[in-house]
Amino acid sequence: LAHGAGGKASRRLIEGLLVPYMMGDKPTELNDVAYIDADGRRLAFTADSFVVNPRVFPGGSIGELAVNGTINDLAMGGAKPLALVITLILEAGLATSELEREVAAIAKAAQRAGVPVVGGDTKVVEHGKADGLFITTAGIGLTDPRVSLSSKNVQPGDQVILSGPIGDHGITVLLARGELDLEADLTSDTRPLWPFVESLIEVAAPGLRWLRDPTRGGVATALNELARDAQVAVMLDEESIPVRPAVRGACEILGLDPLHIANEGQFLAIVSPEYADIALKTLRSMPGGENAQRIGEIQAEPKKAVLARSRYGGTRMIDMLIGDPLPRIC
Amino acid sequence: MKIARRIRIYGVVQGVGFRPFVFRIAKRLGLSGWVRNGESGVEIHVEGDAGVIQKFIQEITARPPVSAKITNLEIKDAAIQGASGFEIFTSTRHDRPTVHIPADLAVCSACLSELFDPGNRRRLYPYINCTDCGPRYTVIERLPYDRPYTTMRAWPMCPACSAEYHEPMDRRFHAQPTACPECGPHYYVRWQEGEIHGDEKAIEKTAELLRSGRIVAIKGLGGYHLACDAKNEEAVRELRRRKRRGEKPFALMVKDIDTARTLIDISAEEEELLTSSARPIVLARARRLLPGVAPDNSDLGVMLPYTPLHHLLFHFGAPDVLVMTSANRSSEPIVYQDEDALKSLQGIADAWLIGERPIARRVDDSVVRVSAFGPAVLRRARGYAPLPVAQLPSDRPILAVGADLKNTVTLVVNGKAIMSQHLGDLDRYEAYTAFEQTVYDLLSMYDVPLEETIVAYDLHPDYRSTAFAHRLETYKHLGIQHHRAHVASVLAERNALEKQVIGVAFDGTGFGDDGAIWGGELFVGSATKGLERCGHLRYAMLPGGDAAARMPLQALAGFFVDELELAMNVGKWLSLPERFFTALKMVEKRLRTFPTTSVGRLFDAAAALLGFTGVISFEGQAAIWLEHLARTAPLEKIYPFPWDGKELDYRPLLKEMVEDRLNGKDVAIIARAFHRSVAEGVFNSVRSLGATYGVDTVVLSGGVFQNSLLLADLKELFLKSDMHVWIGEGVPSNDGGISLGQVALVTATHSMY
Ligand SMILES: [Fe+3]
Ligand SMILES: [Mg+2]
Ligand SMILES: [Zn+2]
Ligand SMILES: [Zn+2]
Repeated sequence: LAHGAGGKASRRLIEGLLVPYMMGDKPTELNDVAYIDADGRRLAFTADSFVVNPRVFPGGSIGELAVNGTINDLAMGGAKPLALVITLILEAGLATSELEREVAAIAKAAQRAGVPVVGGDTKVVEHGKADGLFITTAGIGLTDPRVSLSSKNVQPGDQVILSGPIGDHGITVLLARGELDLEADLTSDTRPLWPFVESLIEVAAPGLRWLRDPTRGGVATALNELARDAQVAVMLDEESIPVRPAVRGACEILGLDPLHIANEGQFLAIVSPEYADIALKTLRSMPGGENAQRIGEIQAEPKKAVLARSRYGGTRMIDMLIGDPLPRIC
Repeated sequence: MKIARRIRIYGVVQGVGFRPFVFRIAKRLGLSGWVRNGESGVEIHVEGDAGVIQKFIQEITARPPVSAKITNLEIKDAAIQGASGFEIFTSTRHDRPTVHIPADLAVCSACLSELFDPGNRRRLYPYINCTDCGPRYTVIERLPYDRPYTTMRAWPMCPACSAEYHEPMDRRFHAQPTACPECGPHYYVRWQEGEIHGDEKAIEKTAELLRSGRIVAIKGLGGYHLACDAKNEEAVRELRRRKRRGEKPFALMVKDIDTARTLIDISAEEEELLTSSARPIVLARARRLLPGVAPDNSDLGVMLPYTPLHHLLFHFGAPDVLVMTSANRSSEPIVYQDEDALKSLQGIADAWLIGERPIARRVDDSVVRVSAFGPAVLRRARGYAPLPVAQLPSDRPILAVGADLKNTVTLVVNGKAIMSQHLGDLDRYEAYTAFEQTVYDLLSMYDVPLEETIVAYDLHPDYRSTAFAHRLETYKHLGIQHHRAHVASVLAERNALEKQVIGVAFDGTGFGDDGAIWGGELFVGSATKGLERCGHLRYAMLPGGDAAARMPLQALAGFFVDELELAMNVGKWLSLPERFFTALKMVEKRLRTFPTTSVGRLFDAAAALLGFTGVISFEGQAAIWLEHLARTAPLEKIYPFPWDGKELDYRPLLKEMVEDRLNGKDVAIIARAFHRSVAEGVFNSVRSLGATYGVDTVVLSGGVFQNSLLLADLKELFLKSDMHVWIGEGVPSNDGGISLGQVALVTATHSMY
C-alpha cells in the first residue's frame, strides 16, 4: 500500500474499498465530518489518526497535531468543537519522558482550544509492531444553524479565500527529519481554526459555502476535490497565493509544488462574492489571520479542473498530488 | 491506334491543384477522358494514341505541381469509353475520407508576381492564393475540403473570383480560399491611437512602426507573431523584457534569401528547405551576431516570408531582418484568435496587425536543421502537419496521444499515420485544450468512431495525456514505453517495422519498465518482434526530480552518487553554489531522489561542472550551452566512457573531466572532449551489440540526438564501420515523435493477436 501521501491514491482507496463496505451504494459527499441530528440540534462527529515522523518538530508535535487536526475537522464542518476522546497506541520501548511530553502537549493544545479531552484509551504493542506512538482521536461538535456548508452550494463567481501562507507544516516536518541541509526559519502552522470560523459565521454566514483545511495533499488536492464534487472550475491567481520564501526555496530544490504541501493551521473558504470583502477583512483583523488572501474564483468551466493563472507564465493545470510526484520534464 | 489507360496516382495529390494540372496537359495533347479524386489519390481515364498517352504520363510525373508529391503510380489497360473531350469530375465523398487534409503552403511564384503586378486586380492584396499555394489546414474546419467548411465561408465570391473558381483551365479552379480585394477579407492595424483600415495603409503603418523600433503583433497563417526589428538591440531587449522571456533564442524572418545569407551559412540542402513550400525556420550556423536574439548560441533560426502579407511588409519597408516569435506570454502556446491577441498581448505589443480571415486552429512555425545525417525536423507544424508521416499495416484506426512535452498526436486511418502539429507542453491549460481539441478534430474529420479505435499512451503515470487516454471509451488501450516509442518512430518513418536494429534512445526523461526515470537506453529487436532493453547508461540519482532538470547543478550532484566525498571537494574547489551541496545531501539521504539513466541529465551535469550554474529558462538550455561552448574548441582528447556489455559507465568520464577542470584546463576543450567521448561510448556499445546480435543498422532517437556536434562526431565514427545509421527526418527525434512510435508499436503488437 502506498496510499499515505494524500491525494489521488488515497482517494482511490477510500472510494474503491471503504465506501462500498461501510456505506453501501448510498451516494454520499465525502467529508471529514459526519452529521447526526438529535433533538433538533445537529451534531458533527469526526475521527482521525495521527502518524508523523519525527514526532517533535519546530512549532509542534504529534500530540498537538492530534488535538488541532480533530477540532479543525469539526470547525471545517461548521461545528463548534465540544469534546475529544484520545487513544494512544504505544510501541514498547517508547521513552516515558517522550510519552509524558506528548500527553502534556495534548493537554496544552486542548486547553488552548478550549475543548476538553473527555476520555480515551491506551494500548501498548510489541516492539516493532508500531512506530513509537500512534494517536487516534474522535471529536464531537455542535453545528451553527446559520450556516450550511457543502460543495453543492458552490457556484461560479464565488471567491476562494485562503487564511495564510501555505506549506509551512509540511516543509517544517520534512526539514526536521534532518535529511536536508537547509537554513530555514520555519515552524509548523498547527493551530485551532475554530475562532476564525466562528468570526466568519458572525459576519458572513449566508455567504459561507464551503470550508476545508488543506492538510495532506495540500491546497491543490483540497481544491481538486471541490472542483470535482461541485462540478466547477477553480481559477487561482498564482501571484496572490501566500508562500514564505523558505517554503518556496525548499520546494524549488525538492521539485515540489507548494500547492501540494501539507498544512495544519490554514483553511480555504469559498465565499459568495458579496460576502468576500467582509470575510477577508474579518480574517485579517484577527491575530494569525493577517496574511489571509483572496486567491481565486470559482468558474463554470472547465468543469472539475483547478487552474492557476500567472501574470507572466500563462495558465497551469493543477493536479491532485499523486504520491510522490515523478519527474516528467524531458 | 487509339487505346485507353486507367492511371492511379498516390501521394500528396489532393488540394494541390493536381486535377487542373492533369486537365491542362490532356487538353494540350488533345487527349480525351476524365480525372477525378479517388479513394486514396487521383484517378485518370485517358484515351488517345499510345505515344501521346506515354508523353502525357511522362509530363505528369516529370513536373507535378510544386506542392504535390507522387509516391506511387499505377497504370492499367482500360476499355475505350469513347469520351469526346477531357473532363474534371467533382469528388464524391466515400464512407470514410481517405483524402489527406493538406498542409499550409507558402505563396507561389505565380501569385507573387500578380501581387506586385500593377495591372492585376489582386495587386497588393494580402490574401492572394491559388490551387498551388495558400492556407489549408489553418482554414479547414472540417472535411470535405470545400469552401463552406473553411474559415472563408463568410466571404461569398464576387463574380470575377467565382468565374475563376469554376474554370478548369484557371489556376484558381476550385481554389477554396480564393478571394480578391472586392470580395475577400482585409487587414487592419490597431494601436493606442486608433485603427487604420485598408490593406496597404495598414501594412505601411506596420512597417513604419517596426522601423521605429516598436513591437507589433502580426496575424499570420497559424497564429500571431510578435515582430520587431532584429537589428535594433533596444527593441529586442524590450521584447524579451515584456514577454518575460529568458535566454531562449528568437526566430527571425528575413526579406529574402540574400539577406539570409548575411546571417547564416547556407548549404544547398538548407537553401532547399528555406525556399520549400513548407517554409520552415531553418536552424543554421550564424555568420554574425545579433545582440539579444540568440544568447550563448552559435546558431540562428531563420525563415523566409511565406504569406503574401509577409512579402508586403518587406515591400512597404519593414526592416529586412525581423524577430518573428510566436505571440504569447512566456511558455504559453501561440495566440491565434483576435480577441485573445488583443487581450493577452496587452503590455507586450505596441500595435496589432489583424487580418479578418479567422484561423481554424493554431499551427506554429516548423523548425528544421540539417545535421551530419541530413535534414531533420525538430518541430513539426506549419507546412508539414497534418500530412501522413508513415504507412502502417493496420485496418483498425489507432490513436496515439504522445508524450506530455512537445506533444503531438497521431491518428492511423486506412493504414496512414497522420500526425498533428506540435501542440506544446500539456502542463499548460491552453496547450492541453488544443491537445483535446486536436484529438477530437482528427477523429471527426476522418470519421473515426472511438469505439473502434485502439488508443496508445505513454506509461508515465503522471502524464496528462495518459490520464486523458484512460478516460476515452475505446476498443482497447495500450501503454507504450517511452524510449521504445522513440526508436519505433524512426522505424515507422522508414517503413521498416520488421527491420532488426540496435535502437539507441537518449533523452531527458521517460518512464521506464522498472519505474525508474530512463533516458539512456539501448534496445535490440524490431518494432514487430519487440525491442528488448539490452543496455543502458549506468544508473545515477536525480535529486528533486524535475528540480534537477531545471537546475543542472542538482543533476551534477546526482551523478556523484558513488563519489560523495569527491563531490564535496569538487563543490568546494569550484565554489559551487549552496544548492549543489543541498542536492548532494538529498542524494546521500535518498530524499526525493529518483534512480535515472538519463543522458540528457548527464549533459546537464557536464554543463554544470563547466560553469552553467544557473537555472535553465527553456528546455535543453544547458545542453545547448554546452554544445556551443564545445564548438569553439578543437578536439584534443577523449575521455573513457566504458561499455561492459550491459552498462555505459559515466564515472571514469566524469572523474577525468573533474580532474581537467580542477587543473584549470579550458572548459571549451573539456566540453569538446565530452561530446566526442559520448559519441565514442555510443559507437562502441552499438558496435559491440551489433556484433553480438548480428545487426548492422542502428537507430538513434531521443532529444539528445538533436545535438549537431554529437551527430557530427557519430557520423565520423560510424563512417569507419559498416553499420547504417538511421535517425528521424520528417518526424522529430524529441518527444514530438513519440506519438508516431506509439502507433507503430501498437500496429506491431496488435497484428500478433
Ligand atoms: Fe523523450
Ligand atoms: Mg483530518
Ligand atoms: Zn499561388
Ligand atoms: Zn473576388
